[in-house]
Order: sequence, then structure tokens, then C-alpha cells
Amino acid sequence: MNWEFEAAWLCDYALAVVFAASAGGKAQAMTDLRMEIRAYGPVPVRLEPAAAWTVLAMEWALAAAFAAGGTLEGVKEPAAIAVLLGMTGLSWRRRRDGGGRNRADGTGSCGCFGANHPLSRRPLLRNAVFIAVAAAGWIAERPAPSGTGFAAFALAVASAVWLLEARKMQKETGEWRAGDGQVTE
Amino acid sequence: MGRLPNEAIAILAGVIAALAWLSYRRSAKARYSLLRELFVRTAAVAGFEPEAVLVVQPQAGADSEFAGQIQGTPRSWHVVLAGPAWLAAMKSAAWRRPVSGMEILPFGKGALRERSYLVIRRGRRFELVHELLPYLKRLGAPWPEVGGRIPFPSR
Repeated sequence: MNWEFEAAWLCDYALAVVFAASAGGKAQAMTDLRMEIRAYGPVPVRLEPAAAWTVLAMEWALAAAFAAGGTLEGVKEPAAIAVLLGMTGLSWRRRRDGGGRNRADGTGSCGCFGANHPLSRRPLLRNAVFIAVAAAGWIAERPAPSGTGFAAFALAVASAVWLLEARKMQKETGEWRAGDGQVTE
Repeated sequence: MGRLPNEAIAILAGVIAALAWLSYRRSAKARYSLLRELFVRTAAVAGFEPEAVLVVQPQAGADSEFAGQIQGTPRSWHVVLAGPAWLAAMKSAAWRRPVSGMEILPFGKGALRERSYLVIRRGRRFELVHELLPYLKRLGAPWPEVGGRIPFPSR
């Protein structure tokens, strides 16, 4: 087993899941995304919709690049690091300026993956880990995937994204806490 | 043990993906039915089909800036205070609009019971807004859509 190949695939897998989950969560809550861009404050009001669609397109593109594995080597990793650094900077700035108080739920989490998503917690630490993963993926080398290997990889990415989304919805409805009835009378 | 052939790995990944998708669909269906139930219950209490339901936690409702925005929300919305009925009655008087208590919330001990958010009905789907303060501040502007087209209460 070539550990460098395996590590490189794992890095691609992790980042494909991260960007696909992030883009999927944002796409389901475009209003929240626009409001979050508003709350972060760097964009004029009239450019908010364009900024929201740009963020979404960028994340889908990165998700596709990482899910394709072995493609755009040396391009996607620095792009991901740049995006993550930008998001981290905005999260840090918002936290400094009042943090979760802007969100009515009062939590310190961000809406980066949509509210209540399992990956939305501890945005600064989480992004630092993702940046480290992207840097590791940048260094490691791997062979190009075969057709079936590519299909399996893409399905594995989709599975993780669906399971994370399911977990988010279970967390929202209280379904994940064993013993609680879903519908309270 | 030798490595599995790529075809076997792809089939295995397909099976796992199908199970993950079923889990996702099941959770989405459960959430949809609970949000629909929330609108059914609020319609029964309010006497009309609300365009949106604003769920407010007591601590968020105590924030003066946020409370000030709640008073100005459209009458086509229904406000639910996730607290006891007596507190909802007090807030109803303070905010000068009908406010229901947490007994109306159909969720178990989940985030939709424990956080403040707005549920907007858009045809057959629901959209949740958690960035409430910036959203409420924008009401009446050409965008967002909800609150833009409907007359505001006289204050």
C-alpha cells in the first residue's frame, strides 16, 4: 500500500465532502446566505445577491474539483486554502465585532454549512484543520483514477454529504435524541 | 486478503450511497411534515394561514433591538414564543400582536425548539432564516420577498 497515495485520496475526499456539504447547505437557504453576507458586512447591499451566487458557484466548483480526484493538481489546493483563509478571516472579524449576538440563536456557530449543520461548530478551529488538510493534499501525489474508481469516489462523497444533511435535520427536529417523540402534543 | 476489484468497490459504494440517500430522504420528509404541522397549528390558533412563522426564544425576545423589530413584522406572520403560555401572553401585550406559547411547536428537543428562527412558506416548500436581525431590518425593502408585498401594520 502506498501511504502517500492513500493520504492524498483521503485529503481530496475530506475537502470534496466539506465543499459539497457547504455548497449544498447554502443552496438550501439562500436567504440566510444573503443575510449572512450582509452580517459579515464587506459587500454593498446591491451586490449581495451576486456575492451569494459567486460564493455558491466557487464552492460547487471546488467540490467538483476535489471529487474528481487527481485533477487540477496544484490549482485546487491553493484555491481551497485561499477560500478557507478568506472565510476564516470573515468569521474572525464577525466574532470580534459581536459574534453570535448577531444571530438570534445566540450560538457561536456559523452558518457556513447552513444552520444546525454538524460541521458548523467552531468555525476557526475547523477551518484551520481544513487548511492543514488542503496543504497536505497539495504536497502528496497520487495516480489518476480509473473510471470505476472515480465513480466509487464520487458516490462516497455524496454518501457523506447526505448523511451529514440527515444528521442536521435530525438535530433540528429532535429525532436524533433517542426516546423523544417527534411530534409533541 | 487481496484488494477488492474496482467494480466491487463501486457496487459497494453504490449500496452505501443508496442507504445514505434513503436516510437523507427520511429525515427530510420528517422535517417537512413537522414544519407543515407547525403551520397547521398556527393556522388553527391565528385563524388564518400565516405566510411565515417567527419562533422566538425568551432570551432573544428580551433583547430590545430584536423585540423592536418583532413589533414591526407583517400581520400575515404568526409569532411563537418558545416559552410558557403566561410569558407568551405578556409578550403578546408588549408586542401588540397575537403570540403563541411553546405548546404549539411540534418538535421534540431539537434545534427548532431551542433556537430563534423564521419559517417562510414558499409554495410547497419551507425556507428557514436564522439570521433574523438583518432580515427583520430589511422588511419592507423590495427584497426580501416576504414582507415586501404585504401591507405593514400601522404603528
